[in-house]
Amino acid sequence: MPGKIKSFFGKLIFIQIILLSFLWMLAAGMTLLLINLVHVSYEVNDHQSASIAISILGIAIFWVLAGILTYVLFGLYKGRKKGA
Amino acid sequence: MDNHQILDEDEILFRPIYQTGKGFYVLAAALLTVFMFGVVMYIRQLIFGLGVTGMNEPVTWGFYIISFVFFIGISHAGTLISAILRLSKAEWRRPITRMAEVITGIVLLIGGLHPIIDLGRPDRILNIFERGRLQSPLLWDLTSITAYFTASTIYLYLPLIPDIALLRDRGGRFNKLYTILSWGYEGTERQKHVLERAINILMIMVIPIAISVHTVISWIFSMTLQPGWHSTIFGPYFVVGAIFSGIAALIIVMIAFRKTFHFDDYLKKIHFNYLGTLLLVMSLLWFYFTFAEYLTTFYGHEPPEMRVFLYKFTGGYSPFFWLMVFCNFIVPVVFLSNKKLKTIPGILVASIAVVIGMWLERLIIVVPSLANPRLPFPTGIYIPSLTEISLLAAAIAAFILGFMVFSKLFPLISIWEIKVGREESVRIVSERLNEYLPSKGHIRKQIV
Repeated sequence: MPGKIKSFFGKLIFIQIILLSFLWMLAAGMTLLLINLVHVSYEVNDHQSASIAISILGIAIFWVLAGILTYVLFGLYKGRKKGA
Repeated sequence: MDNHQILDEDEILFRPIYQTGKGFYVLAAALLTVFMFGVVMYIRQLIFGLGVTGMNEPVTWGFYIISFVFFIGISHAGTLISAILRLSKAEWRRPITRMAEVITGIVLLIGGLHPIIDLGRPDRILNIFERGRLQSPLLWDLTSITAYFTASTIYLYLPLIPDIALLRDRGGRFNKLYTILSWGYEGTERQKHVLERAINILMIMVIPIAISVHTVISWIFSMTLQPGWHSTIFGPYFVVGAIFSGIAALIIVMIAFRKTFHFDDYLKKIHFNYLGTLLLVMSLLWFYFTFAEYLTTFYGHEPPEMRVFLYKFTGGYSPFFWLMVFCNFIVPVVFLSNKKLKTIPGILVASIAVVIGMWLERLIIVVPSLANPRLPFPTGIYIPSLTEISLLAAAIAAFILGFMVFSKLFPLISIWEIKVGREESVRIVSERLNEYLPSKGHIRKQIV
């Protein structure tokens, strides 16, 4: 029985980490997209500074959001009652 | 957290999750039919192209872009209003924040899809990823809407965690889902602290993101030199309109759920009174912006601008323009500034009028400017086709369906926030009052 409970919690954590990783993938995807678009703006010599400014803002927002959710979810795990 | 106490006191809030009446299935089937009809019409549009819509030269934007602006505007109901109320420590917010946040999540999904529906070849959206230009407000929009949707979903999810833990502890259906989503929440002091801290950071972060979303949408129009669009006040004008329509949508949703699930004890007259007052203030603010916008156009008397102006005031779009003024200004002012009319049905009438009026406002902004371009074209004609009308109906059906699905999975009113309110609000508010007001001893001392 304890083995079964252990495997259930193992699966649970695995699923939860996968769910969280979606947000990190979105943050990474947006970062890649914006970096690519900055690269395009250099290629066609088209207002590079504006592209960089928008990208810095956009990238920061997504990483902060992913960071907040990670902080909460790991904080909730750490904050559980002892022995739970 | 003593979960059993919550279950006893607020059992009615769990009822929508566990009890499903016949009416639910009938309504869901009807809405699903409308939605599926919209899907079929969209597939037809994919096959035959945008020729099946009423859009043509020079009116190349129609119902889809109007609905896009409208739905994104409604999204300000949720996260922005909820964040402002939380930030200002308005205690009456507790039963309404959840519904407000759900509205945001659903309408952002629906609204965000509309620019893709507007494309004859939706596969070409992939070109953005490869060769997009960050100088285009359309791409700023893509970034800000994605950021707003992500922030709003997290902002909806975090305050939901304690309630998901309650559902998990009750057992029953979807227990595995609740176990996964509750992340081991047990209501310990540390967990509460972590959650509170994150919500506080998010509520500050979400306000500028929300404002940026509608400002950027307004820039899609105002960055062009089209008559009627090239205006410096379009950003704040759009934000005001968005909050205005958002509050109206929130009131409608609240009244619908109050009636359906008998939440009378949670959504009281005072909540509608406060929201009604907010709606009235926004109505006056909307009128001020509309007046300022059109007065400057009229005073400038530039011929291309005047063509659009007259088309709205006395021309082909005048019935829609004056109906918009009636819905957005006359009805709310009459119903919300009169004590006798400011009842819950009266506030509902005003809110429905505002939602219709704000949709008309988006119509008034999009079509007349395109129909009367700066170039010497004859005035364009736009008559929406059945495809466009059915997709608008499908979007509304999807909104209601989204809410129905949510009500079957999660509580529509934040149970833990109600509990905290009951236990701590009186103490917190009296402490705050003591900070604001001069002490009695101080007054006596001054008199002596």
